[in-house]
Amino acid sequence: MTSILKEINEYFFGQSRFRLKLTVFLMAVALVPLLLLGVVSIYAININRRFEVAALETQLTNQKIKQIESFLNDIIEALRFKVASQEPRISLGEQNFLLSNLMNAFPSLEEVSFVAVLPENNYGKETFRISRDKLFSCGVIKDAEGEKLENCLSWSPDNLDDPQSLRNFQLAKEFLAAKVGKDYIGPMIKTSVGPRFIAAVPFKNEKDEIIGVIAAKIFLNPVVRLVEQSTLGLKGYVFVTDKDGSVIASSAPLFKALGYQLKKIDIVSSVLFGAKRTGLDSADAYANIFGDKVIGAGDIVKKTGWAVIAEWPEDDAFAPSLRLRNQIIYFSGALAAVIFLAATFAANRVVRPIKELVEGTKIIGEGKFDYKIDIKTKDELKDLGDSFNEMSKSLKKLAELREEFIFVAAHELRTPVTAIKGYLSMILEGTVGKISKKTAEFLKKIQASNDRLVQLVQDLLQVARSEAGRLKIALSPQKINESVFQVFDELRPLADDRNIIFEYSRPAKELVMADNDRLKEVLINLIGNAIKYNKNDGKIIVSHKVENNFLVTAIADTGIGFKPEEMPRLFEKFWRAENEATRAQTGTGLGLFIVKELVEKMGGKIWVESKWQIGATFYFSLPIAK
Amino acid sequence: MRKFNFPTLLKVMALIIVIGAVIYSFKNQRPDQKKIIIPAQSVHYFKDPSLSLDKISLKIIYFIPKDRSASINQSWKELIEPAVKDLQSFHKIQFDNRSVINYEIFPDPVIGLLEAIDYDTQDTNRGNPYALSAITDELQNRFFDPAGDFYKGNFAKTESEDFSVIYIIYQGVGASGIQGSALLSLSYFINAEFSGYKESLFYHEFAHTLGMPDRFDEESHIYTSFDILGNGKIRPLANAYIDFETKKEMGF
Repeated sequence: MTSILKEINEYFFGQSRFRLKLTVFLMAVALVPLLLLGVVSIYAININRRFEVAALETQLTNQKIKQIESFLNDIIEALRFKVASQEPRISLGEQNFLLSNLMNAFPSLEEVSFVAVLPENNYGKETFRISRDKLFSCGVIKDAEGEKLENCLSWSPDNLDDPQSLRNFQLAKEFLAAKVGKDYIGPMIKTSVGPRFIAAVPFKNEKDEIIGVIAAKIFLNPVVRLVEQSTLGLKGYVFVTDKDGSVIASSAPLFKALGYQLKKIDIVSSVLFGAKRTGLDSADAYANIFGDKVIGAGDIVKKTGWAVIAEWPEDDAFAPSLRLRNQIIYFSGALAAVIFLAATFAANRVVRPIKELVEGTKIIGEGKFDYKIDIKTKDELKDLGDSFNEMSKSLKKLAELREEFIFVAAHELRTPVTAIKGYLSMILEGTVGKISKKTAEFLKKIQASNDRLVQLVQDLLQVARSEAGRLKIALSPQKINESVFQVFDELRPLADDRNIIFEYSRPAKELVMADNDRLKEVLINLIGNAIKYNKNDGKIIVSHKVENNFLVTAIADTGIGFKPEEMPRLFEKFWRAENEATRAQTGTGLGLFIVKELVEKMGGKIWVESKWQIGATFYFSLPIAK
Repeated sequence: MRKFNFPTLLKVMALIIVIGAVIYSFKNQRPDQKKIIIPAQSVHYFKDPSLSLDKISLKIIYFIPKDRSASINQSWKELIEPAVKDLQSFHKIQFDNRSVINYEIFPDPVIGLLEAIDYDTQDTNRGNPYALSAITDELQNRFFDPAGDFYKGNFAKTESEDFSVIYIIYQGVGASGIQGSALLSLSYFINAEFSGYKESLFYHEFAHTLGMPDRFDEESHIYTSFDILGNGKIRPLANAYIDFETKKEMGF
C-alpha cells in the first residue's frame, strides 16, 4: 500500500519541477475559467432562487389575504342589507325572514341577532335571535292577536341567566360601534370547536336611518381550512394571527397546536404594524420559533388587522438550487480531476522525451557511446534525440581512435623504454665500464624517471586493454589469504622503511572467485597506496567480512585520508588528490581506476570510506566461490 | 526567498477542502425534534403578576351538610368528572397551553359538621357566598390541617409553585367563586334545564377563583360581554370563550 502511494506521489508530485510547472500551468489554464464560471453560476442560481422563493411566498400570502378578505366581505356585505321600508322599525316576522335567510345562506354564521337602536323600540335590546343551536334561538309565531316570540323571554333583570332570554347589547362593543354606522369586526375568539369572531353592522331603512344592528357570531373554520390547505414546497407553511398575535390558523400542524402569541416575533409584529414583508430583505431570512433558518414574507389583512405570514425553511426552499449547486460542484470536481489527470498525462508526454534526453546524455557522458536515445514523438524532440545519437556515434569513433592511439603509442613506447631500462641497468652495474660517481648519480635519476615512464606505459596499456575489452580475466577459486600474505611480503621492505606495520585481523577462510594475478594486482595497488600515503610509524589493517555471498576485504590505513569533496573523483582516470602527501609521491593517477576496472571485471565492487587527516579504508568485494 | 513548494501547496489545499466540508456538514445539521426557542409567556392571576397561574392545582370535594347526608347522590363522581375534564381542556385552549390544570377529586363525599341552614345565606340568588366561605373554612381545618379528620397527605399536598384551588360541589344551592375557592351546587349537574351549559357554569365559577370578574354591570344589570364571564356562561362550553379584555390583565 505504502509503495503504491509512493509511486502515485512520485508520478504526480515527483522531482521533475518542469513537469510540475507544466501540470500546474495546464491546470490553471483549464481550471480558472471553470472555477469562475462555477462560482458565478452558483451565485446567480442562489440569487435567482431567493427571488423565486420570495415571489412564491408573496404570491401565497396575497392569495390567502384575498381569500380571507373575500370570506369576510361576503359575510359582512350579506349582513349589511337595507329594508325596503321607510318605517323606523321592522316586524318580528321580517326579522325572522331576514335572519333565517342569512343563516341558510351562510353556514359560517353561528348566531345572528337583530338589536334595536331607536329608543322607542327597546334601545340596545335584542329583538330576535337565530342560533345554530335551537335551544338558544328565539323563534316567532303568529296568532290571532298578531305576532309574538316563541321560546324567548324579553330582556329583564329577572331572567338574565335564562338561555331563552333576549340579551341586552347596550354595553356591548359591537353594538356601540354599529349603532353609529361603523362596521365592527371583533378579535378572534378561541373556542373548543374552533376560532370565531363577532361582527356587527348597522341596519338601515330606505331613508338611510339606522334602525337596528345586525350582530353575528361567525365561525372562522372556512379561514382555518383555506389556510390549512396551503402548501409551500415540502416544509413551507402559512399561518394567520389575529392582531394580538394569537395563531388563528396554520398549515403547519405543529404551529397550530402551539397556540402561542407571536407578537414578540419580529416578522409578526412588523406585519401587525402594517409593514409588508417581501421575503427579499436581509431581515426576511431569520430563525423561526423552532430555530430553523427560514425565509419569511407576510402582509396584513386590512379589514381585520390580522397578519398572514409565510415561512419556508431554507433547506427546503433552496433545495432545487442546492441540488443544482451540488451538481455544479460535483461536475466541476470531476472535471477538475479529469483535467488534473489529463494535465499530468500531457506534462508527462512532454517531459518524458526530455528526461530520456537527459538520461541519455548522462550515459553518453560516462563514455557509453553505444547507448541509443530512443524518442518516438515524431517531432523536434525526436530530431534532437537523433542528433544526440549521431553525436554519440561520432564521439564513439573519436574515443575508439583515441584508445587505439593510446594503445598503439603505449605499445610502441614499451619496447624503447624497456630497452632503456635494460641498458641503464647494465651501465649502472658497470657492464660497459666504470663510470664516475657523478655520472652514476645522473643515470640513477634517469633510471627513476624511466621507471615512472615504464609504469605509465604499463598502466596506459592496461587501461587501453580494459577499455578495448582486451583485458583477459580468468576466474577461479582463490585463497585471498595467500595473496594478502604474498603482497605483505613483497611490500614489507617499503613499509619497514617508514616503520609501518601490517595487521591482518581476520584471515579469510572463504575462497573467492578471482583471477589470481589480477587479485594480487588489486592488493598491491591498494596496500601500496596505503603505504605511500601513510604516516611514518603508521599501521595498515587488512580484514574481511562476508556480506550476501560476497567477501568484502577492507584495507585501512592511518594516513592523511581524503577530503569529502575528493571522494567522488577517486576512481576517475588521471585524477590525483592535490596535497602535500600526493605531491611527495609519484603516480600516474591511473592506479585506482585500474583497480576499479579489475574488481568490477571480477564481479565485485569497490568503495572507500575516509576521514580527512585520520585515514582511509578501501573496501572491495568479490564473490565467494561455491 | 523561500522556494514555492507546489506539492505541499496542493496537500494544504486538499486539507482545507476536507476541513471546510466537515464544518459545512456540521453547520447544516438539523435538530431531530422541534423545540420552541421563543421565551415562554407566563400567565398570572387577574391583575396580579405575582401569582403565577402556569400550574394550577385543583382539588374537588363533594360536600353535604350534615342534615342532608341521606340525599347523597351516589353518581356524583360520574356527573362531575366529565365536566372537570372539559374545564381542563377549555382552560388549556383559552390560555394557549400556557396554564395547566392538574385536578384531583376527593374520592368520598364529605359530610359537613353543620346543617344546611348553618352554611347557607337566606338569599341564595346571589350565589350563596356565605356557604362558600363557611365550607371552605371547615374544609381547611378538616383536610389541610394534619389534625383534621380528612387529612390525607397526598390530597393536602400542593407544590409550592402551583396555584391552589378548592372546588366544592355542594349538596345544596349556590354558585360562587372567590380567590382560590369556588362552590357550585350539584343540582346544576343533575337538572335537565342546565344540561346545555352546566360545564360553562362550572368553569365560570372556577374563573372567579383565578380572579376573573363577572362581565356584568351591577347598576344596570346588563352584561358587558357575551363571553363565559358574561352572558356566555349560559351557552355550551364548546361555544364559550374568554374575552381578550379579561386575558390582557392576566399576562396576554
